[in-house]
Amino acid sequence: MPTILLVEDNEMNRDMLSRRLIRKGYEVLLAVDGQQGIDMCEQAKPDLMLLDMSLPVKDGWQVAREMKASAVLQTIPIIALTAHAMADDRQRALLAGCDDYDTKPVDLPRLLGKIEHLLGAAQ
Amino acid sequence: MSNRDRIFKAYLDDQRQSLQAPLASVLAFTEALLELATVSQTGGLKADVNKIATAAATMAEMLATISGLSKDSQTELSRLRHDLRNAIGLIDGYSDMLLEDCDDEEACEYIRQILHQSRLFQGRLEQFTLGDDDKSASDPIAAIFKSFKRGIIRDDREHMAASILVVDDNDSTRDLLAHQLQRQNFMVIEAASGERCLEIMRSAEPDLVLLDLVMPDMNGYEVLQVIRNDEALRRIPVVVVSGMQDEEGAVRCIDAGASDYLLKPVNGTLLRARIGASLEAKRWRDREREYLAELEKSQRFIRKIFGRYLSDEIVQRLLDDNDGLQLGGELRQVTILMADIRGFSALSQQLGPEQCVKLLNNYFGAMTEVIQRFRGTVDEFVGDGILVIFGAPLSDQDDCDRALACAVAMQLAIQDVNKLNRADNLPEITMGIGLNTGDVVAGNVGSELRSKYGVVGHNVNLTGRIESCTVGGQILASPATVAAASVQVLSGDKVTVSLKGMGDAVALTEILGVGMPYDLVLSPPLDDWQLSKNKMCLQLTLMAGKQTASKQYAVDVEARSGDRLRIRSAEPLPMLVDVSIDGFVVACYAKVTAQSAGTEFEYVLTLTSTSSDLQSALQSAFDE
Repeated sequence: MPTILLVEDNEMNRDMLSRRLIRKGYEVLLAVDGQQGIDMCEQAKPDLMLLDMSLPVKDGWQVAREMKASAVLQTIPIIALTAHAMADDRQRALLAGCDDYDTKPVDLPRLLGKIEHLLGAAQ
Repeated sequence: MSNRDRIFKAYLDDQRQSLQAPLASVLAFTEALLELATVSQTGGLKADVNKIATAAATMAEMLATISGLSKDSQTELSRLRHDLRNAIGLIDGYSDMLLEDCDDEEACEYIRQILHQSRLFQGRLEQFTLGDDDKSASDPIAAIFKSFKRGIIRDDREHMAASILVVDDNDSTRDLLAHQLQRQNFMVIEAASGERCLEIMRSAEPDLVLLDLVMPDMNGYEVLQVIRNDEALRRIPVVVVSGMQDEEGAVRCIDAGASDYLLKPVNGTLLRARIGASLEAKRWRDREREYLAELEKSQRFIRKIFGRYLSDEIVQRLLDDNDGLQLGGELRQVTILMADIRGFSALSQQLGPEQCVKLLNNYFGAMTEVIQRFRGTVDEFVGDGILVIFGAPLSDQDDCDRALACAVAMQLAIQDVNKLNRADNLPEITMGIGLNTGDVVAGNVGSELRSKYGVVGHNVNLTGRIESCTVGGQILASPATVAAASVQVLSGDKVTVSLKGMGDAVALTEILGVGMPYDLVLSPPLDDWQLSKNKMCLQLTLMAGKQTASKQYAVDVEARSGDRLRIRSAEPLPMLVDVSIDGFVVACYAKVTAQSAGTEFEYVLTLTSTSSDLQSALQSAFDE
């Protein structure tokens, strides 16, 4: 089963979203800040990264830019998650290197659609 | 404080309260959930409900900052929205998981209510602005009044003007349309992009969307695509408003799922007519959906009501078969099974009401389980009696066979009932069963307020009479039942009785077992005949009122095996008739259950209820 790295600083959100993904059959890795997210990508090579954009230490925008600048990590698809639903958020996330974007509150079927789409494209 | 400030403050208070209300409801529902045993006793469920409560409480605290906002607190509002959306996600996510984990109907209803309140909250949150769509409007006060006029999303959609979402990236076009619609008393929500359109559709569920085609990022066609693939969004009609005057484009939009197509500049009258038509169509579809939901609810109801009487399989077949629900009176051939506890009236006088109910529950619980296994319909529990129908409401080839097998299985299950009774310090019981096959009237019997599916008729009464001929542990079947059986029946003695309504000589068959595929056999009574040592004479009185007038007999007791006495009489005794044994302090009853083949006037008398002085009299007759 594909492995998803969830980078999210809020504990309850992490617990809820990871459990929902596990229920759908995914392996889920967790990181609590941006730097840890990048470190775990290097170690564990997840199939996809779910990235909350407002993170401590290193925010999601920075994480996405660094990931896409790295030859090793740039192949890992990133879905940006943000609770800011500004019209230009999507544009900004894509510019930063994210492969897709979704808003919070997460609509699980919609997010799963995006995840599957990206995992399918990566194969 | 200036007038403007006062109005703004009142506006903020109103908004805060309208956001607070659904959160209070969420908290109330979590409390209700925690009171349910299914939730409070399951660690995982309880923990998730508590997380929902925590999220809702945190959100309620966040709302306090609203009072401190000013007209240019865009950043603060944006942060508040951000945090609240995160928390909404928690409520939704944990609720969805709870729905997956929990199969208690009441709990699920509460969880769905929580989800509904969360939708309501989100809708209100997305509508909450400090000015006109978060842009610093030229006249903020006018914008606030506009917001007032728009109102907030309320629970009762019935009494509310239809809400229309206007989607256009061009501010002036959008304002114009919004203005036109507001004059027509519609509630207007605005979105400046396709993305925002979809978000608002999800959160606020408008009644209709007016969609511009040419927009940056995500154009109208793309929006239509997303809507089409989303089951929830598909229900909302979309009228495309386009500046492009081409037929092909119109066709493409309709193909993509748009319900209508209008050209810019929009003519007010035409707009109203098209919107009216689309809304009407949606109302019909909504009504249809409500009707279907209603239907599903009534099916659930039927399942619940019938579930008490019928096996799941029959309920499902009734629901699948449209005609099955018209349970009007009709003549049907059925096999009727009647069972009751021997000597229950005497038993119930010895037991307290609580013990009596406990004993009946042990008995009915075990019997209902057996009856469902053989797909019988429990028509009635009367006192300690059970009336079961095989062949209504649905008939099958093997109705009679299942009834026979069920009777044997019920007798076998009495052992388990007695095991429970012993554990509960209750007396052991025995049960007699009568079987009969014939035509009955089946249907919903009763008044409008209280009706139930049942059977009536001569054959039902007859079954009762057959049943009254039995002793504990015995099954007696009418000739019609024996004739209708296709399963192999292991039968004991045929006993000829005269039954009211059935003629003088009816040969009832004692059923001892049924063959394949059921393969159930009763354990035979122990034949351990002990001859009497001292002469013992009993005075029997035929019970009056049942068949013949009361008559007395004097008989000699010759031998004993358990509850059975071999007796010799000077004259013939009627078979399977209740007799009282006279001369004892507590009334004792028995039945003549067999006649010896060889000797004339020699019978077997089975005791159906006994007393301590009868027992001691017997003791002295047999043990020196």
